[in-house]
Amino acid sequence: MGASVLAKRLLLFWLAAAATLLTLATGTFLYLREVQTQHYTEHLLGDAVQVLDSELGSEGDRLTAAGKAFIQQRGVDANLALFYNYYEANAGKPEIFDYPARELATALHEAARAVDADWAVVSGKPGAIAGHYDRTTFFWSHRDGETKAIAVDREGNGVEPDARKLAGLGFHADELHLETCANGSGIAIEWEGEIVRAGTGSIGRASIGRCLSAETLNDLEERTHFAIVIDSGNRVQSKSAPTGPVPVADAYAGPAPGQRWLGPARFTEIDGRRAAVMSVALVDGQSVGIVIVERDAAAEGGAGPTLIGTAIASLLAVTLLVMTAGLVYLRRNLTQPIERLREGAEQLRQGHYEPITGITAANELGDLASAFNEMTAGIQAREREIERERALLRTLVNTIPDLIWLKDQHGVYLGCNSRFESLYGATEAEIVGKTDYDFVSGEMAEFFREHDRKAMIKGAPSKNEEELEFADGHRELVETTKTPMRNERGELVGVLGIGHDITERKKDEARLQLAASVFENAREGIMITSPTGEIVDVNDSFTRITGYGRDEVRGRNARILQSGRQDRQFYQAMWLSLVNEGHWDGELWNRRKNGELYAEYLTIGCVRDDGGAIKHYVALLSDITAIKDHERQLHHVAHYDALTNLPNRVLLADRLRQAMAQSGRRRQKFAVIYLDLDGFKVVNDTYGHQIGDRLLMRLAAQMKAALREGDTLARLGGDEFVAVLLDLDDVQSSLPMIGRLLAAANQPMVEEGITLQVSASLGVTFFPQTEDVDADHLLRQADQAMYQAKLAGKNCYRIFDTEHDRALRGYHESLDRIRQGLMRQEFLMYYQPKVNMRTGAVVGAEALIRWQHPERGLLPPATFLAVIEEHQLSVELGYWVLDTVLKQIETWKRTGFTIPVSVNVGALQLQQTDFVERLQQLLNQHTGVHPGELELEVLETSALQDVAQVSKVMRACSDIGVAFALDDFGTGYSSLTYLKRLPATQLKIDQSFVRDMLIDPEDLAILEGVLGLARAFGRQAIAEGVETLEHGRLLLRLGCELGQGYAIARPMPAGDVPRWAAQWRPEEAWLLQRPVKADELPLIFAAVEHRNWVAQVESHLRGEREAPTGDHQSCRFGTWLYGKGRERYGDSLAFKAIDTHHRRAHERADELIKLKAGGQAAAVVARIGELHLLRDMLLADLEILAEDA
Amino acid sequence: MRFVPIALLSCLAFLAASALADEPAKKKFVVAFAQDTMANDWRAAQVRDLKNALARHPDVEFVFTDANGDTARQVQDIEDFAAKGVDVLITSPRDAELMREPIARIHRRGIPVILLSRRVTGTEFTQYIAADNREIARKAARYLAKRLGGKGRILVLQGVPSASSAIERTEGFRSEISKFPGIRIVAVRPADYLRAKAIERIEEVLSEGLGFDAIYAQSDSMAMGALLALKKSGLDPKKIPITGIDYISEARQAIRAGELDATFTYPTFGKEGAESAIALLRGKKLARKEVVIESTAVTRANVERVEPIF
Repeated sequence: MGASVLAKRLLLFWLAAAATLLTLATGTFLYLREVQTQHYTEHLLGDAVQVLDSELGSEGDRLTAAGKAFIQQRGVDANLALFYNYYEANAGKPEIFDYPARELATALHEAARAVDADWAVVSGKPGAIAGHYDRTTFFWSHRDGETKAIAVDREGNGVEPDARKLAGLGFHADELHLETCANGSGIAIEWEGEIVRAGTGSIGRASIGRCLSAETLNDLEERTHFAIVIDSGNRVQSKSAPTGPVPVADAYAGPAPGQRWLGPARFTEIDGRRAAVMSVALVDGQSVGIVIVERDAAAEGGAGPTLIGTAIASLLAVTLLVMTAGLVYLRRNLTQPIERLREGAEQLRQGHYEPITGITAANELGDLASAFNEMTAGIQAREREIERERALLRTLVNTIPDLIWLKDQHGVYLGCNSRFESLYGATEAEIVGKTDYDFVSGEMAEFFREHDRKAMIKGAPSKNEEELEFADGHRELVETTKTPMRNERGELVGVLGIGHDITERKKDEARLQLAASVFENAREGIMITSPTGEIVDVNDSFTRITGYGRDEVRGRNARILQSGRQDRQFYQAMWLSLVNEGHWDGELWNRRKNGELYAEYLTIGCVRDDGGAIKHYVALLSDITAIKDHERQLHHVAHYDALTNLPNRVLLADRLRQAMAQSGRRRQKFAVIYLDLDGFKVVNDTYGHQIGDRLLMRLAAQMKAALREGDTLARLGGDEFVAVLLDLDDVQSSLPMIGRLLAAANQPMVEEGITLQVSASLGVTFFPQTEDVDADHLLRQADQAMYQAKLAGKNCYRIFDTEHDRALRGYHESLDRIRQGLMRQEFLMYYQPKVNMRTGAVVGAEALIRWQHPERGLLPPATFLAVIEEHQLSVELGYWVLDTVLKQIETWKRTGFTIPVSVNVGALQLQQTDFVERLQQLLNQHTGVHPGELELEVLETSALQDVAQVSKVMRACSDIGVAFALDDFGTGYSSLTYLKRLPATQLKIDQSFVRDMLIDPEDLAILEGVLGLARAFGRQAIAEGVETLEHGRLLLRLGCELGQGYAIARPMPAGDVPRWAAQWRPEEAWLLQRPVKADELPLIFAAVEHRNWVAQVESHLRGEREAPTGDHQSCRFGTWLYGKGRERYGDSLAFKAIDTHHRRAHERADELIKLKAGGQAAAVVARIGELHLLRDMLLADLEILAEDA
Repeated sequence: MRFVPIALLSCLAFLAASALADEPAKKKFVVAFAQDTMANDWRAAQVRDLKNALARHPDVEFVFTDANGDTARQVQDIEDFAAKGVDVLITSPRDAELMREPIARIHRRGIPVILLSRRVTGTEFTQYIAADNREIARKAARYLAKRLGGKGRILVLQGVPSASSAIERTEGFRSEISKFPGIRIVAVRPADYLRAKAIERIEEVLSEGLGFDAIYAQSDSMAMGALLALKKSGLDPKKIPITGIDYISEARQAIRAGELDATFTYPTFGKEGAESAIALLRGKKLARKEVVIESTAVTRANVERVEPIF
């Protein structure tokens, strides 16, 4: 190769330059290293000094910690105190102190062993008491006039440390210091401290120390790689330290900066080894020299020669490297490029468009190569462009989803696309050159051929629909277009065929047709509107239903149909449903074109476009007017008597319920009149049913006419009617109507020429009554009164005497009748909920027994329990109640409703010896009931009859998980002792205190006291008789959260409880109450005082008692207001308002009392409301006062 | 039903009065007990008994300390009580000699000191209440001699041999049994008052083939251990008379079951200590400086009437 000469020359040049540079670099490197080694050694020496200093520091810290821990041990302090306080008193018997000395020695042993101390001493009153030295712990025993050292870990004589050693254990002033080591060589670090007892002062001392031995120094040498010499006259040193004399350190003048013990270091050399010399001071002031020195040179030696060897080796390596690099350079830049150029030309000649690579040099060879490459690339690019266009065309034809093929004039395939390939299941190559006859039946091929020919003859595209079967078996309906192909000279060369799949399009067309047919033929009216409600289209049924023709409504808003019977909210709800859910359906009233209203069932759905926006609404409407009418008829039949068209029994019950609810709201009475015709049966029997029926119809009409609008006359059946007269101010105002009813019934009538006359007997009762009654009650009462009227000679009325009835009912049922009732299952349980008035939680229910007496109706327990109280039957009934309640709890639980129920247990039952056993049996029978879900209530008074027995039963019950409540709490005479003995979990505050707490300060005080008792004994308190919202509020303010009473719920049948519990919410006003603080209690008492006064005034004005005495300053509220009240709240604004209200209340009361005295009693009663108003304002301000405070 | 709840009101009045009484607090007497250690059940029961007995006196406050078995700490507890000015100090001194002077100093300061179950040397204290271990041992000896009908071999399970109680319980037993010629002690095996050791000792004796007809255990815990070991070896404890000392609940169960013949109460002196303290507080002089509490033998005859100590 001609280039090798150039390569050799360049190699020589490279060698010379590299050798020169390497020589220079080696010299400089060796010089710099020598300088740096010296600095580096001193730096390392400095580090070693730091390590030594911190070693001393941490050793000191460990000793300090151990020493302090030792003197703070309670035993150490206590034992030293024994010596301090009693050693002299027992000077005659020093041996008894062996025990504490031994204790101290044991503690010292632990402390010394923990830090591996070389010695430790504790001393007190008689001097040294215990010591640790040479790995042995001693205490000094003084016995029989001599002192012996006794080792703690075994009995017997120890070796007494010699005097010199003891001297080494002397005490010094500093807590932590250095001193000469006790064995005389080197230095030691020692901690000492005084043992101080509060109140007494120092009672002893302790010291603990450790020598810096040769082993310690060897350890340090291993860590720092420097030898250490401590030269305290008697020198200690690490293993590699020089044995000859070392330089004398300067006198100690305090630690060097950053160090705790060692003085500043001076750097020097000993036998050619770098060294640092410094000093440290002992506790006696003596200065001790410390030398830290490089280890023996032999250990570090050999570094020099090794380094030079390494340097030479590196030089040789570099020289080799440079030579090789020179050769490589030449090859790359000259010989290789030329070879490549030659190869590139050869490749191009052979038709390969490979560019020449690897020639990057910017010289003539590089230029030549790139010109060559550009040339090659130009040729290649043109060829690729042609190829790309061809491929594009091919792709285009293959991508078109239609079938495409070309045939020559004779039907021979010239080409096709890939879709067409799938038709015949053959590749294009297989198809070209063949005809249809090669692929399909002759008949089919003929058909294709004919079509091709038609197109060629026509000279224009020709369309045809063909159903084709593809190679894979599926069929498509294809629209084929065949177009004659001509060459550039205009000569016919063949046919171009395009086949387009129209299967889906055909199906869509069919569906549209079907939809249009449904739209036209549907029985329901269909209306399509735009999103804004403009009608787009309607069908014929729409026209039939609404009367509007298609053209009349198109473009108009669907509102034209609105009847106005639905309000805005109705339509708003409809739109809301449409927008949110996409559809709406329901019934509504619309108006036909002729103005007639009709009921329609309407379904509206949205039609959305692909983007989800509403395009149309489609409404389906059917006329349901006829159905509605039918419903009304059914309703009428169900609620009205067919003969008289009067309300029947069902509707009557409904009206009664309404009347009872209204009566409560309007504070008005209403009357229930039971009406039975006298002598009607005779008419029926004599003249037949037809006449009788007609008479009934006319009587009904007349009696109805006798009543007012709004009153109800119902027919119960036969000749029995019931009238309900509403809104009566009093009993008297019903009398005219009763008279009219009697007259109407008594009017003679002529039917078929026969004059008929009957009369009526009426029984009347009123609502409300002093007792709680229901609709059935009212009817029974009226019925009873009606019988009285019959008995009294007919054609008259009798008013039901509630007082008389009550008196009658007061007679107790006989024992036998009750037993019978139990057998006939006439008893049932009602449940009154107990709640947490603050949280709204339903916490339980009390089970209350009722007697569904077949003759007397629902009886409360007072009417029958007293009879059997002392009788065994009460026990039987008691178990029946327990069983029923447990069953009920199970029934509820099965429906997912769980509530603890309390059951009242009588005294006699509790005294049964097997009570607990039977209770357990019952619980076993009702496995669905958890014992905690049953609670027993026992009257406080019965519990006190036999505290011992009852508390035993209570405890036994609570063992099986059943809790107890003390019922009617406060009515007995429970002493605190008894209460303590009765393990009841709940106290039920008797309702008498609760009921009157709003107006009776004494009751309030008792209530407050009971709540305090419950808190003190950790019992739960629940208030019975929460009758009004106000009761609840005050209870909550007193901190009583649990309640039971009419304000919450009346007792109810079991079936009503779950529903009630689900819907019950506490009163709003209750939610806001918070318990008062103790200092606000007087405010509550004051409020009650004032209520009490108003109540007194009121009952005086009603003529029930004397007027209360005292003016606004001397009444009880006044006494508080102008005394303690003023003192505490005098500055508050509310206080002034209260003062004003109070004065005005007294003025108004005085005025009314005077009027009453003047004989205007009725007018006065009407004005009582004014007093109430003033009272409520005052109470409101009192609450503000409490909140401000 | 509505009664005027007079009782209730008076209770409230009492509550109010006691609340008011806190203001000018009436001085309460303080009785302090410096206990050696609470880790021992018998000593814990001693504290409990004292506490319960004093709880009946609302004007007395009871406080106690636990020296954790450390004499120096018990001294310190006593000194702390004296510094606070307690009205009566009760203790059970751990060291008769060392604690003589600390207790004497407090006694000299006029604070009455009652010692329970253990005493200090000298007489500088107010009263010492204890039981007579020798007498208990003698009772046990007489009981077993009678049970065996004057003829038989007795195995002795001894407490900590160096403790004075164990020494006295052994010596008293030996001296009494020597009066019955037909009865002899076959072995005295120390079991340190521990159940586990008692089990080992019995197993040893059985494997050695040493015959015995009755067991005198110097504590109930050892007696219980003996029962277990016998049952494990297939022997019926009902056929071998066994007696214990202390009368703990387990012993009661065993007596009820007929497995333990008898045990001798070793009272905690809590009740007696409390009675002396109350007498001192009420200004009375104590009749005797040293009181020895009688031990009761508990057998099936009276097991239901006597309450165990714990």
